[in-house]
Amino acid sequence: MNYNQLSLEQAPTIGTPLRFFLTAPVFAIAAALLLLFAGPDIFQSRWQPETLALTHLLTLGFITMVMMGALFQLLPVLAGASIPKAATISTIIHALYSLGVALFTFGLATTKTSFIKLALVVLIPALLIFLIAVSMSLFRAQSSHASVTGMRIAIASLWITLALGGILATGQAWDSVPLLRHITSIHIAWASIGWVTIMITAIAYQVVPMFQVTNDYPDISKRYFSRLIFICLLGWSATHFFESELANNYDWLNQLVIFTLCCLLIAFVSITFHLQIQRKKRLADASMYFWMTGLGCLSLSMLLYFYSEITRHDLSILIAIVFLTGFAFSVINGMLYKIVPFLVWLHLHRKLAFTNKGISGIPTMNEVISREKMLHQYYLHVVALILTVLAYFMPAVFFYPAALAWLTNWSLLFVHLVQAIQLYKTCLAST
Amino acid sequence: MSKEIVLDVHELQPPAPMEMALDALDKMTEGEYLKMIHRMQPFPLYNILFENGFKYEAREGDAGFDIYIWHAKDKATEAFIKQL
Repeated sequence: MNYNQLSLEQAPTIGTPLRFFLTAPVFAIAAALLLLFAGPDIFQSRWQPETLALTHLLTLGFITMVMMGALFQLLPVLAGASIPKAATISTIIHALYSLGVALFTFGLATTKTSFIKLALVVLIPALLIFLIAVSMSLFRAQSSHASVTGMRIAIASLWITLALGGILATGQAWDSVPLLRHITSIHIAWASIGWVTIMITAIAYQVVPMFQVTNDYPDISKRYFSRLIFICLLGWSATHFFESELANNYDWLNQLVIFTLCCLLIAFVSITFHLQIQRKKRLADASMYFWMTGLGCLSLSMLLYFYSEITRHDLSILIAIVFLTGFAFSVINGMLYKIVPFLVWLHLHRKLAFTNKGISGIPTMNEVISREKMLHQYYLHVVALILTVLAYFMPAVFFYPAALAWLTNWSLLFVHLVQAIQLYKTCLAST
Repeated sequence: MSKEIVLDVHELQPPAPMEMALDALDKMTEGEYLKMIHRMQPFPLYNILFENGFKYEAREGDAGFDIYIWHAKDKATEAFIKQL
């Protein structure tokens, strides 16, 4: 089979993904500031206004922001499927989405419904444009790689997350619309497992073997993993949606679904660890450490969740800390440290290869953000994570050190990304 | 008959494959072509090739893919590669 028929549409400009990557740490910094202002009480209940605002600053402002930028970049590279008019569409989505997240989280924190209403007017269209553009692109993708299947399922999950989130936010903003609180857990499940986790595993199928030079994931895992998780989520949603009708008679069904889900995710983590340990070139870098920390935390969060369901202990805040900052933030931080230097390096080569200037003066990928800088931020990230877990048990002692550690950590990430862009501009200006 | 330059990058960590390919292509003359042995399709490289007067063809190979690259104006080499 030959592949020269793949269409060579223009790859996205460097600005397309980078504007998302640079905005994300700003929302993370806002989240750290919110922690400082709200104080230790923010860990008391997940229903508090500040807790809701914090969760959405982290999930919409950072996690989804980076994933959007990454998809604009990765779809053409991994799937051979570019997003039509990516530069224009991404500019519109980025502007609407950033404004929407800022208004939405401010509205949630201050319980000012006028801000939530205004936010929904820009946030929902931004997500709809993004979802339609990516769905069309994935539908047309020629590649049958497991990553594309995983991405399709993750995007389907984001559609469901948005629909449920839209219903909840509308209920929060308008008194005339009932607030269906019982669908909150279903919204969280589709957001965290369906959207975030499946998307990260889909990206891992490509990125782990490519950047960490490991063997490929086993076929059985690539073929069935995301589909099985999707089925588990459907089952889990059904048992939660009909909770009152099912009463306690179907508790075993719920626990079986959760058990399967935990086993699947822990199996994925084990396979990835196995591949990383077996790899041919053992050059560990900060990105690899971020991945390993993240995957360890994914396993831990699933074990905590299973334990909380069996024992009926409410550990939702602790699980959220381990899952969001321990798993999602670690992996995404690690991905940013591969993608951003790679983009700077790639676009400098695109601009300078085969010109008089040549490629000899272009910094190597490792020089864009130095290994030491990335490692320092990794250590800070781990310290912040440990302090936050300790703050959950002893807020009086550890809460403010944890919040300050996150503020420093995310500011440092932001500075590193800005420095990488400055290096790109300096290299181009010197030609 | 065109001269083949083989570049086996299937065990190398990014961005080494692209760096080596660009280096080899910079030195490649008409009548020569590059056969790149890779684990995957290097989509970012394709854009650079496209913008700088090269043509390519990717075929399934032992390591994953064999990517043949030649100067777009070198019709003789193109015809030779098509026969392979």
